[in-house]
Amino acid sequence: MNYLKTHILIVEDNYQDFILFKEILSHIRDFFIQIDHADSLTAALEKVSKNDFDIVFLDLFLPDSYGSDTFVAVQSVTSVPVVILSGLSDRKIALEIVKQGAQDYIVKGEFDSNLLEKSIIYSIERKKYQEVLEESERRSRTIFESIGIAIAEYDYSALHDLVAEAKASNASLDDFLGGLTLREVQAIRAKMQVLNMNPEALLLYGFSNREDFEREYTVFYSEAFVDYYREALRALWEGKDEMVYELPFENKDGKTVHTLKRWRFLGRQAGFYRLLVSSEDVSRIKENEDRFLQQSNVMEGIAKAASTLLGDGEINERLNKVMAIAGESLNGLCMSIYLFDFPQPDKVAFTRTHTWQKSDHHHHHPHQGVFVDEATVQLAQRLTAGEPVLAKRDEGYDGITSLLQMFDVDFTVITPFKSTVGKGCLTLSYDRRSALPDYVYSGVKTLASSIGSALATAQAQEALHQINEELEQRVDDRTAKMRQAIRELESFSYSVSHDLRAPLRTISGFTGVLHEEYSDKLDDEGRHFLENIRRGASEMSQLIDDLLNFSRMGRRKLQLERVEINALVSSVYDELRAQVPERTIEFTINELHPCMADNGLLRQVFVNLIWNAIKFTKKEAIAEINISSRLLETGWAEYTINDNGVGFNMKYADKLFGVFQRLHPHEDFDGTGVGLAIIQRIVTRHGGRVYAKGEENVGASFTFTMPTHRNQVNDEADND
Amino acid sequence: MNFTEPETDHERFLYAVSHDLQEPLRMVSSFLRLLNEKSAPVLDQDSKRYLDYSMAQAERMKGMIQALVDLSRVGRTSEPDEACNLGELLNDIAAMYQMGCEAKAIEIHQESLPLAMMAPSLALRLVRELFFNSVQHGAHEPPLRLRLSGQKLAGNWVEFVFADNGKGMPPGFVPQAMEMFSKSCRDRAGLGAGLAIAKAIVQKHGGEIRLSSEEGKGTVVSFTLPSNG
Repeated sequence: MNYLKTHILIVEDNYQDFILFKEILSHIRDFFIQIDHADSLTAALEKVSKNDFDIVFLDLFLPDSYGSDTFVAVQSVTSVPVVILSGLSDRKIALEIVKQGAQDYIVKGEFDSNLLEKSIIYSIERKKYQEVLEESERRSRTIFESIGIAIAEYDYSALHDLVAEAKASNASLDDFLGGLTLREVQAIRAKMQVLNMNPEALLLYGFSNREDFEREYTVFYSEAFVDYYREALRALWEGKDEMVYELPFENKDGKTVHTLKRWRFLGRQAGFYRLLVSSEDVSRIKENEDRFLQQSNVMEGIAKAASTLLGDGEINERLNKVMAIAGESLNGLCMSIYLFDFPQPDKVAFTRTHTWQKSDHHHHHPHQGVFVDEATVQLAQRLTAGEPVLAKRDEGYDGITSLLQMFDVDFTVITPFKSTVGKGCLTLSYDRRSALPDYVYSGVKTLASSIGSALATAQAQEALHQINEELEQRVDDRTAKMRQAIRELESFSYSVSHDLRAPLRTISGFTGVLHEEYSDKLDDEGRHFLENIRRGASEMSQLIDDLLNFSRMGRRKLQLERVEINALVSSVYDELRAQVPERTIEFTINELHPCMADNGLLRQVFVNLIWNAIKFTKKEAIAEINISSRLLETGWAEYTINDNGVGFNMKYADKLFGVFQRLHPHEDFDGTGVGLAIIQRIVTRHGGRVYAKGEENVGASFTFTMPTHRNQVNDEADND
Repeated sequence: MNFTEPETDHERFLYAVSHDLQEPLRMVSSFLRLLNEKSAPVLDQDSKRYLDYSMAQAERMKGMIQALVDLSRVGRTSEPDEACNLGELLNDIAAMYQMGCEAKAIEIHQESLPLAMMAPSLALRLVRELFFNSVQHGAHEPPLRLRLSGQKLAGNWVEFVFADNGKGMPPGFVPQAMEMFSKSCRDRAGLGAGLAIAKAIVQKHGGEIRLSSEEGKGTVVSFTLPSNG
C-alpha cells in the first residue's frame, strides 16, 4: 500500500487546535503529509473542489456551519473520506455522523500521532474498499445486462400464493386453470415485481426504458398469454422448477414475435420468490429448432450461472453452484476455477479454488501445482495476455504441458480472467474432441469475466467487513468509555459534593442560629459580617446542590408518563416569573405537543431553560421569550425556546453543554454552569438530542427532542 | 509548574469546585474571623462556641478544597517526564521528616530500584503521600519499617511495592482506601485525600495501583509506572 504522500485538509476554526493537530501530524514518520487548512465551511468547500485530498479532518462547529449540517455539506461535494474532529461534549453527534458515512471520529485532545496514523490509514482503506465494491457491483450488473438474450427476474410470490390458495380450497387443477381470464392474467402479472431486467428484454417487447415497460406492458397481452400463464401455473402446481413455452405475440410496435420462454422458479431467496425468465426471439431461426434449443439452453445456463453469481450468500457456495449450473448446461465433464501466479519469471503456480465434475466422471482436475516446463509457462503467459487456450490431447495438447497432462482429458477450454484477487482462469473439459459452436466460447468467456468480478467483489466485501467490524468495535469501545466516564464523574462528584456539604451544613447551621438569636445584640458592623458569612455559605450551598443534582441524574430510573407540555411550561414560568417582578417579559407559548417523559426531570429541563432565558435577557428593556414545538417525521417531539438576550458565539456551541462551562462572566450573570449539563443529561437519557444556536447580542435558541412513545426510550440505567 | 487548561469533564469538575468554592469560602472564613474578633464583647459562651465550630469547619473545607486543587493539578500537570529515582526521594523525605520531629524511629529498606519515567514534581508528591500515609497510621510495633522494592516488567513498565509494618486497616475499609475523602484513611489533615492523590498520579502516567492491608500487620501499596527503557 502506498501512503508515501498523503494530502490532508484540516477544517478547524480554532487556530490553536489546528497548530496542535499539525504538531501531532508531524510525528507521523511513515508517510509524507501535505497539510491544507480551512477555518470555515465556505473555505473548506472551495478547497475540496479544487484539490485532490486523501482525507479531510472536519470540525463540526465552524463559524458558518455547525453540527451534522457541516458534514452533509462536505459530503455533498466530495467523496474523499472524512474524519470528524469532535469535542468531548459532542461525541454523540460525532458517533451518529460516523453512522451517516463519515469514516471515523477522533476527540480533540485525546489522540496522539499513533491513533491519528491508524485513523488516517483505516479511513483511506475503508473508503477505497467501498469504492471497489461499488465498481465491481456495477460490473457484475453490466455482464448480466450484456448476456445476449432477453432475461428478466421477477418476484413470483403472487403466483405462488394463488396456487397455494387454490390447493387449500381443494380445487382441481383443471377447474383452477379453466377459469383463468385475460383480465386475471393481467392482474397476476401486475403483482409480479420486476427485480432485474436486461435491455434485450425491453427491446423484445418494443420498449426502450423500464418505466414505460412497467406502465404499459399489458399493451401486447392477448389471449395467447392466458395459455402461457396456464402452463406456468400448471408447472408450479405440479412442483416443477422450470417451464418452457413458445409464445407468439404482437409487440408494442405491432410486430409479431415468436419467443421461446423459459421460466426457472428459483424458490425463495432473500425475501423474494425469484423467477428467472429468458426469452429468445425465435422468429428467424425456427427452421433450425434443434440447434436453437441447444444454444438457448447453453446461453440460459450461462445466464442463470451469472445471475447466481449476483445472488446472496457466501461466495464459495455461490461459485460451487455456478460451476454446477454452467458445467451441466455446457455438457462438460469437469469445470474448475484456477488462480495462478509466477513466483519466478520461469515458474508458474496454479491453485484450484472451485471445481465441479459430472456425477459419473471420476477424474478431478488437479488441486494445485508448480510448473517449470517451458510449455506450461508459455501457456500461463498467453492466459496472462488475456488469450483463451484450447488444449487438445490428439494434437499433443498444443505442445504438451505438464499441467494439461495432469488433466487427462481429451479437450479443455481454458479461459482467462483478471481480478483484484490475481490472475485466474476457468477450465472446462470434455471427454471427446468436438467442434464446439462459437456461442459456447463466448458464453464461457462471459462467465469467466463475471467470476473474476465476483471474486473481486467478495474480496472487497470481506475487507470492508473486517474494517467495519474494527470500526464498530472502536465505536463501541468509545461509547462504553464515554458512559464509563460519565458514570465515574457522576459518582465522583456525588461523593465529593456530599463530603463538602457536611462542614458547610455546620457553618450554615451555627451562623443561622447566630443570626436569629444574636442579630439584635450585634452592632451594624457585626451584622454586616454575619450577612457576608451567610451569603458566602449560601453561594457554596447552591453550587454543591447543583453538583449533587447533576450527579444524581444518572442514578434515578426514568418514570415515563405522558406529559402535557403547555400546562407544565405555564406553571414553571409562573413560578420563575414571580422571582423577577420588576422585569418586563413578553412570554409566548405556542401550542406544544405532549410527549412521553419523566415529568420531574422534564420539569427541570424547562426550569433551567426558561430561567436561562430570563437571566440572559436581563439587560433588555423588553425581554422576549418564545416556546414552540413541532412533531418530527421520526415521531419525536421537538421543543425550541428562543430569547432576545445576550446570546453567545457559535464558536463555543460545542462547549456549552460541558459541566461548569460558563461563557459569560460570573458577575454579569449568576449561576454555576451546571444547568446546561443537567439538561443534556436528562434529554439524552430520554434518547433525545439537544442543540443550541446563538448570536452574540441577538439571542439564543435551545432545541431538544423528546419521545412520544414509550418504546422510543432505551434508558441506559435499565441496561447497565 | 506548568498547567494546561482543564480538558475533560472530570478536570473541569475539579477546577470549578476548587475555584468557585474557594472564593465564597475565603469570604466566609475571613468574616467569621472578623466577627469573632470584633464582636467578642457582646457574645455569650454559646455563641462563641458556635463561632469556633464554624471556623473549624471552614478550615476543614479549606483543606478539602486544597486537596481538590491538588488533585486537579495532577491531571493538568504538563511537566515533561524524566527518569526519577523513587528510592532517593523516599530517603530525602524521611530525612527531612526526622529532622523536624525528633526521635521517631523509622527504618527504610530498599533494593536498587529501577527508575520511573514521570513528572518529577509528581514523583515527589507520590512518594510523599505514600510516606505520610504510613507515618500517620504508625507502626503496630516500633520502629516503623518501610520497604520499597521495584521490578521491571515486560513492555517498559516497572512495578513498585511499598510496604509498611503499620497498624493496617479493617478489611471493610480497604476497597475505598484510595477514594477521595475516604473515612477509612485519615491522613495528616484528617481528610483522606493523600492516597487519592497518589492514585491519580499513578493513573496519570498510565499505571495501575493496588492496596492491600491487614490489621496489625501493615499495608502494602503496589503500583506500576513507565520505566526509562
